[in-house]
Amino acid sequence: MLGNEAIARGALEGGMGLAAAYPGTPSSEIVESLLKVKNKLGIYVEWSVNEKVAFEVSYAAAISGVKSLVAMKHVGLNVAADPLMSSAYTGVRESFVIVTADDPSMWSSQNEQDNRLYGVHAYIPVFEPSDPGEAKELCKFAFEFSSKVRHPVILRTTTRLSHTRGPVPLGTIPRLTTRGEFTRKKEYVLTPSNARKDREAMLTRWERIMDEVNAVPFNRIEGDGKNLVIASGIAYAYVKEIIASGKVGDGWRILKLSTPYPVPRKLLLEATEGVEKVLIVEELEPVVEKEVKAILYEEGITVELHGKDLIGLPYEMSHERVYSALKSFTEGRKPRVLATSNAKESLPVPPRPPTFCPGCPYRPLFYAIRRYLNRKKLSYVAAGDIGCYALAHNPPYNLQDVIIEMGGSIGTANGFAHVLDSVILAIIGDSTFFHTGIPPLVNAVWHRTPIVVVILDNEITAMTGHQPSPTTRGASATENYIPLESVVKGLGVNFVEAIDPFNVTQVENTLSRAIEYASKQREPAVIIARRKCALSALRSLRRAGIKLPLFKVDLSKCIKCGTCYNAFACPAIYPDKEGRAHIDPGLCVGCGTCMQVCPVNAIVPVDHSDTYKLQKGLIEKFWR
Amino acid sequence: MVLNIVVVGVGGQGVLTLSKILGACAVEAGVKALVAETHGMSQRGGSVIVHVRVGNDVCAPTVPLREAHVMIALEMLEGARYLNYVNPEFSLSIVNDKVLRPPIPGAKVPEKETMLKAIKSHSALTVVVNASEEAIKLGNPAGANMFMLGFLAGLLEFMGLSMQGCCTNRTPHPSADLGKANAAIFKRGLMEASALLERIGEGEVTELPWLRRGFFKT
Ligand SMILES: Cc1ncc(C[n+]2csc(CCOP(=O)(O)OP(=O)(O)O)c2C)c(N)n1
Ligand code: SF4
Ligand code: SF4
Repeated sequence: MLGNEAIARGALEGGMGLAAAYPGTPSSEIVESLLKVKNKLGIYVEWSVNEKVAFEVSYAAAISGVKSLVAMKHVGLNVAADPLMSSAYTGVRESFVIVTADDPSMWSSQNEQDNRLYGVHAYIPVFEPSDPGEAKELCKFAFEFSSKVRHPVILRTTTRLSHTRGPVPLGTIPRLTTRGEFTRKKEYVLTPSNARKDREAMLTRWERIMDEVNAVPFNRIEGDGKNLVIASGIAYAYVKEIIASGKVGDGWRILKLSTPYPVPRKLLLEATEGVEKVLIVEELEPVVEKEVKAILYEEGITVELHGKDLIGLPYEMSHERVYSALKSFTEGRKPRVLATSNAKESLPVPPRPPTFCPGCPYRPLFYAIRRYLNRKKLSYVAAGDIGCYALAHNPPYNLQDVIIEMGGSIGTANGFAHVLDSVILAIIGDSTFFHTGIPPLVNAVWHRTPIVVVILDNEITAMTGHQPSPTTRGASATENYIPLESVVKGLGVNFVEAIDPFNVTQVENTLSRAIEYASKQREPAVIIARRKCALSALRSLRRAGIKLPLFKVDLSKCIKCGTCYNAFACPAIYPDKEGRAHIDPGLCVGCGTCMQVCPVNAIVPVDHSDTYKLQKGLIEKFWR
Repeated sequence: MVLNIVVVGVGGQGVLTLSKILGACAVEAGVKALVAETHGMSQRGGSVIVHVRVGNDVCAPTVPLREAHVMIALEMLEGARYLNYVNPEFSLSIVNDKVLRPPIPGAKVPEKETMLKAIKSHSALTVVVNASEEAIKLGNPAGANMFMLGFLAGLLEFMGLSMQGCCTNRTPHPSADLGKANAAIFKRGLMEASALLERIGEGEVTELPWLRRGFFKT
């Protein structure tokens, strides 16, 4: 079972009645797997429009007495930070488990923030499992704990836990309560006078929580010796393996922690009794380390203590890091390797960054925008956003000059427009637009900011694994389709045009008119580029059992210009030694857009033109 | 005893599917297995590495550098990229005879011979297989991963894990034709593994200390 599936299972065994989330790697499979059993179990599960809303949906259930879960990737908690802080003030009536999936080493994120620090900041206890099997048990336990102390709980997982498969023994799912009852109380109304009372009540609850964590069965002391290693979460798995291998000698005591915050004081004191040296091994920030130092200082215990100085700060844990830290620790020397990033290759090989899939609507779109900007020699800034389209930042498109967070494209475009004389483009996906793109667009309308916004409507949240978005048509009977045009027009945008990104000429013409409109009228123009994500189109084509047309290069016509494999860059097209283009039949998905970019019409369908026309007519509706 | 496997390739080649089936079948055969996947960005045609660790002593999800017993490379350039996981003393590298050029303007891919030379010098034993070619012949152009699954199942079966039945049950069959093709490709991989075991048995190629009957029994 995948770590994330184990968390979902643990939530059900813990009695969860409602779950809400916004997708984000590495968290998405938690709610994805809950959605699969939602009808069978009669629970309520939704993809919300963003993390803040998901948090509020789930919080409301918890204060109405329905055990609930909210899940998000680490940066999602920044978006939900406002209600997070307040939730600790009010406390909850039933279990409220906040799952944050952190991404050490930034496998698919813009940073590697350590969300255990949100626990410190908000007075919320943090639980952290060490493998998929424990993730299930710990999640279940987190529900019990939250219910017992009437306080929210953070369950922190990381990429290597969430996306690791391992054996997970199953328990039973109790009867799930899905209907609640809301009792009016002052605690839920955070006016200053109520908030002051809540703050004091929270601190009292916190005292109890600090005590309760000593009895959490997932925290324990193992082995014995003069050297103590305190290992939290997945770090424990590495420490245990290295010590068991015998490579670092014996005489080790391990304090395994599943509650990095607050650190169980009594258990810590028990663990430090009679040891000579302490080493704290944890991923990312020194959360446990600082706590341990503070506790030992308060207790008047002086002992040699190491942590980040030996294990290093950035990136995920590895055998090499733990081995080197334990070795340095016993030998009393400075370590040679601190943090090891992702392993380096030994033969120089070209990088293989991710690219748009064959048939992706974004390829012809960015190819056309690039070509237009080059031809007009325009000075421009392309404010970008997060989604599959962020890959256009790479060559050959080189489109997106700033990518910082979701919704940041239109927001920063607002600012650029007031200080630069260039054309300002904002590039944003449909899901991202609904997530945090609407307020900055309102801002641009309000302040008559001359920007051109391109919304990429592939009708899905593609990057994170194809979750539905408000633009997904016919997802289910309980979900409405929200056409982007109506929203954008409703916000007061006067230039709104929907285009087909497969049509390179249409893209260039519309872009040209939008740029002119924005600069003349001094207000935003919005282009909606609408085509389905190729992967969803292909999935339905495959299901319908339809054969895809194939394309080939007429080698007698090919002039080796490289437009198709260098500038358009479909991964299915590759050059031979002479520079002539070839199409790999194993990769080509028959979208046919490359025909438009070849200057000498050398790319042709493999089948006879009549058969091709028939095929094209048949597949078109699946692509749209 | 822990068997460390890294499966590398290009996003879309089915690295995840292969590893997932392998892990599930190892668990079904009664040993612990952890499979650390790569999701997100690397699935869009990027470089992918999945760590598979089989054995009851496994705790940590990733394979330590230079400690992979087996490297499965569904693509040669990716095989050459992850050589820091293999060890010339004991690693077996199984390399698909397939090169996919990264679609970046002007990307320079080393010659096949150069890549193979590097892989060979880093491994104790290197086996080049025509997984993609066989897959095309047998009816699923995207089925090279099933060939490799068959190969691994053959090795693990020899080492004491009963894998064949479970793998056969789990080979994907999006349509009846593809299901049949995948089963046939899996068998081809199995046969290739037996051929290798035979050659080792007859002393034609290097013996690997871990590749022995009863590895999982001790
Ligand atoms: C605050 C936050 N939440 C979630 C994510 C994860 N994430 C990355 S891209 C993306 C959505 C992309 O969807 P869309 O804008 O429709 O673009 P597409 O991938 O479909 O091209 C999400 C949810 C994130 N980076 N930041
Ligand atoms: S998943 Fe969809 S949107 Fe993302 S690159 Fe592939 S085709 Fe394009
Ligand atoms: S038709 Fe052309 S652009 Fe489309 S997938 Fe095939 S080679 Fe790529």
